[in-house]
Amino acid sequence: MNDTELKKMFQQTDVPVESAPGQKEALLTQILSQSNGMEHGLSAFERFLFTRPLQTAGIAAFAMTGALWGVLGSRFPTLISALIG
Amino acid sequence: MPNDASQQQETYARLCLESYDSIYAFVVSRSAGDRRMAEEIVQEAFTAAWVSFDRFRNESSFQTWVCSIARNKLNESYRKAIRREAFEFPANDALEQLAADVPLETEVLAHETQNDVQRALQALRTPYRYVLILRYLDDFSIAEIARSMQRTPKAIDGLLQRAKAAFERVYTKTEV
Repeated sequence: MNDTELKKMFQQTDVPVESAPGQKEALLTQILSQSNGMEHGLSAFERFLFTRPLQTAGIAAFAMTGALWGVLGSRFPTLISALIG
Repeated sequence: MPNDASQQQETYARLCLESYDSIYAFVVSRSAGDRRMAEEIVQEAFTAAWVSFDRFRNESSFQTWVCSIARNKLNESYRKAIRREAFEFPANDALEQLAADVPLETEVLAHETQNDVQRALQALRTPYRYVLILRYLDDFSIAEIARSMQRTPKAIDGLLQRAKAAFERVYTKTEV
């Protein structure tokens, strides 16, 4: 087979192909719904978590300290001392 | 491009539906009739087009633009497949052995040239298939193929000769 023959044969494979019925519509729906999901998927809490991570960490630490103090009472400073070493 | 989000979606949807079949056909022929691979590539191309749709400036047609994205995705997919196969570009003295190693157990009864060509291509190893598609379907020069496959022109020239030999063997067998 020479190059011209090969080229001719290969060009014959480049023919119009019809997609299965509903295939393009399904793809379009998938792409657009994914994109809408990405834009509107974050709740207010998630947005706060991702946009203000330091504040989130501070609030979490403060809340945990308060809760532990509430539960342990006067034993809380002992626990902290023990943890620090 | 329309600024309003819903208008943008509407425009994209219209262009997508209009151009889908021709992009799909373009990819099917370049994936040797492998529709599964073609569907994945087309999906990735249209998704990428939507993600950067606000940057589409009408300098080319939407179809040409998505086609070029699909071509890049195809290239990426073939390169990954070649890496997975850990294919090395050997020296020319291994030429005959490689051509003989090509799997020939293809049960092909169809006699249409299109099907025969596609089935023969599918029976070949990925680098052979891809180099033949780039050379004879896309009419790329050796230098362009070398750039696309990130190899030297000399390596591509050797690969093309082996691919042709392998294709001829498989195609002749499938024709019988």
